[in-house]
Amino acid sequence: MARALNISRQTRLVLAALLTQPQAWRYGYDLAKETQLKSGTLYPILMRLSDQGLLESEWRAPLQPGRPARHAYRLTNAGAALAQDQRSASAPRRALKAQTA
Amino acid sequence: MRRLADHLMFFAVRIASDRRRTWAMAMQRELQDADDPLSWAAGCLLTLLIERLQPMQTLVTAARWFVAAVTAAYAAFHFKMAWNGAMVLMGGPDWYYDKLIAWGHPDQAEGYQQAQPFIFAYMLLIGITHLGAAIFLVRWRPKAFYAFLAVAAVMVLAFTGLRVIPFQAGPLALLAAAACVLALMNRKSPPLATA
Repeated sequence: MARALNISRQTRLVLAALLTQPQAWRYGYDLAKETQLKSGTLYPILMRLSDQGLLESEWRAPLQPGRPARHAYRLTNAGAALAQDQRSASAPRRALKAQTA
Repeated sequence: MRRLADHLMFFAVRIASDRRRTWAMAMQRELQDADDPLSWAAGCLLTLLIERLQPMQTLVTAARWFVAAVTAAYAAFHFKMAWNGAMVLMGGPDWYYDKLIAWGHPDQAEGYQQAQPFIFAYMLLIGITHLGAAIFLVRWRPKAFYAFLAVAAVMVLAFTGLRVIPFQAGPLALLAAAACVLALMNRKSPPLATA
């Protein structure tokens, strides 16, 4: 039997947030607000996802002129697959929690 | 508050490694939108500082191996002494006892002989605990290392309390210091996904 992936709760939160709109480019601060993670937790996760080829990033021109470009992120295919796996794996756990609650 | 956050962020960008420069600039850009800029900047600074310290892992590993080698040598010495003690307990010659008699200290020789089983047990236990600590130091299993270290400390204190041996603070202090330093420096991020 394959062992469960060693992924922290915070990483699962980030993956879930990125998976809600897999094609959309997301910004660091928006992700921090959505996941309620501090920058000191969020960025190491983003960096590691990027290092492992699960996240792509690029500088995006701002919507409002005169503002500097922002670094944006979205899941790669491999990242989206991992996020899907995580969501599938956590669904039974959530159901069990809801039942016991 | 905003100015302090800007200063922190400026410092964070300055210390960022070349590999993380883009990330540092990304964090700096996001600071403009942050509701709590100080907290944001502090988190970014911590992240980039830890990233900067990552190349020091080689140094940390070398230090760990060095301390482990010293600890293993200390364990080997105690195993040798335990072996000698076992030979004496089984009726072998005891040069130290003979020396004490020859030097005119029959009382000390008597006390030494009575303490032989305890000395043997101490040598064996200290050998085992230090060897365990050395192994888990090299393999870097912190909990197991700390456990062996704690048992070694208890053994030293217990046998010192029983007056079997004089207090040996040196090797334990070396191990304890190594434990603290290595724990501090080993703040490496775990792999994200390991099957």
